[in-house]
Amino acid sequence: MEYRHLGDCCVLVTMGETIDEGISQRVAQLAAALRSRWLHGVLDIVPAFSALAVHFDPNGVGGADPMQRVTEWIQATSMAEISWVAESGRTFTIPVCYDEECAPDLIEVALRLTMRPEDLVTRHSSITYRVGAMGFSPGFAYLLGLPADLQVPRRATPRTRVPPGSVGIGGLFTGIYPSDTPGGWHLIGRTACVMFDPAREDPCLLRTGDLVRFLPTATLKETERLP
Amino acid sequence: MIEVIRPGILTTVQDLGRPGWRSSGVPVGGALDAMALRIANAIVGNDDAAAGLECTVRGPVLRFLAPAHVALAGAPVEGVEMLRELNLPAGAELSLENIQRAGRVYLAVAGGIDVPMVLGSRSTHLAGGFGGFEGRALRTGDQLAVGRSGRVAEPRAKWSVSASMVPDVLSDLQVLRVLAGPQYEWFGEAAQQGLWNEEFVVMPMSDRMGLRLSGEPVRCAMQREMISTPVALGSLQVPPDGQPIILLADCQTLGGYPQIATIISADIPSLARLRPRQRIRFEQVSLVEAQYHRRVIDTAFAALRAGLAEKMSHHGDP
Repeated sequence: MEYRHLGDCCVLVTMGETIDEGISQRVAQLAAALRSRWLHGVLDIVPAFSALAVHFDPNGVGGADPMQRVTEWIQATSMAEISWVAESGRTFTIPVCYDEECAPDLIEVALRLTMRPEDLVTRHSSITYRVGAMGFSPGFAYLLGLPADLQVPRRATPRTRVPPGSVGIGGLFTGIYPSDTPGGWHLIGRTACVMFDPAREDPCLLRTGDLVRFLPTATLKETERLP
Repeated sequence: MIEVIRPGILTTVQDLGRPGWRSSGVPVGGALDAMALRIANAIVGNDDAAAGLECTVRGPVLRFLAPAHVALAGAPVEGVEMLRELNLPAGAELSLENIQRAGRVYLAVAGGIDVPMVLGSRSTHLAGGFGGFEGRALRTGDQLAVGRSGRVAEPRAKWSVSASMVPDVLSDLQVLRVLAGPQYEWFGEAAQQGLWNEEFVVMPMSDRMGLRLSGEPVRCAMQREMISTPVALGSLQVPPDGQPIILLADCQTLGGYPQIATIISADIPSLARLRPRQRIRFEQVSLVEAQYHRRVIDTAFAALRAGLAEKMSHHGDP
């Protein structure tokens, strides 16, 4: 584990140099352990694919060198509290309509991948993905596990607005756009599941480490309920 | 109630942001010049966490439907006294349209702007469409509720806060102090020297997410795949075109570009005060120096708070 400072109010812990399910799971485990023994003055614990950031308020942490105090807390936690045994996150099955009107890029992507659109759908919905990181926009989960034969580069020109609930693939990832943000991934389906709602007690449906499967439905209407 | 007669270009409700939600992909947000908002709040006797208005380039015209105690901090506004308590009678109109040098100014009102808390903050998150007033910038006809305040003030405050607390006029060549960033080594000697020696110009199309700079391109020597990694307020990201972007309060929580440096926290409020076309230069400092400068600012603000509390406690003395 490599410790660097990100300004004078954040420690960045790097735990690997590749995007890998095992590494992101270790990052998620460290984040969970840090949360269970939260240090006063820490504001945010942000796990990503291969690195974890701890943002803090130097006044809240206190001491002559708050950066050192936070770093020592992370070091002590990583040595003492984590079994590092792979444990599964929660599992979600998200209904997705892959119908043409919900999937503006499905046919084009299928052509590029030289497979039939229905095979692409079958393949995409046959895999259990893992949330490698949350980011990009509130509630956006980068899902790892997209097989090599479904990987395509991002669109040359990103869309300025992607409809909420759109299911996309781009590079190594698949994922669901929670809100109508710009987006560069290819849209191959859509769900009515609400991925982010600031009014909910737990605003995000998913969190880092969770497992996700997609369940094809005939209509968008049928995706309104989590099975 | 405060009624919006004219909204200005970008007027939003902001407080000190919503830390605690970055792991859900929610930006920390909040006032870009948090020091200016904290000072305005202190003048009218509010907590640090009270929400005020962030007014950008051209501010709003407001009508106060009930008597109000307000204060302004940030870029000077023509025809309005800054950094002191203004006691407005019911029906008073306040124009913040002529913000000098197209800067940002913060308005605090005793009791705070009362909008619902969303994820622990009243800040407007524009891209996400939540927080603040209906998740958006203010429009004509909006009516903002004001929180309760036990404020009793003199008809005309005899004191004001020193402008040195919120230096508006930055030098023509503003120096921003930075720490080396997590990917500093990726850039190689030439780009690193360029960063310390070259000047950059602030681009006009900057927003609440990032401050775009223009200058001699900073080229990353090491062409390696960048894994999206956490970023911080003040991260200096370098996209492939070599034109750096300084991340501001509404930036995303992860970034896909190498981070060559990070602005020290003591200099973050200055970012909100930079004008388009202003020239800047970076100066590397050590972590110890960065922590020292932060402590100086925090101490100065604590002294200001204590001084104001003292003034209030003597209010009404013969």
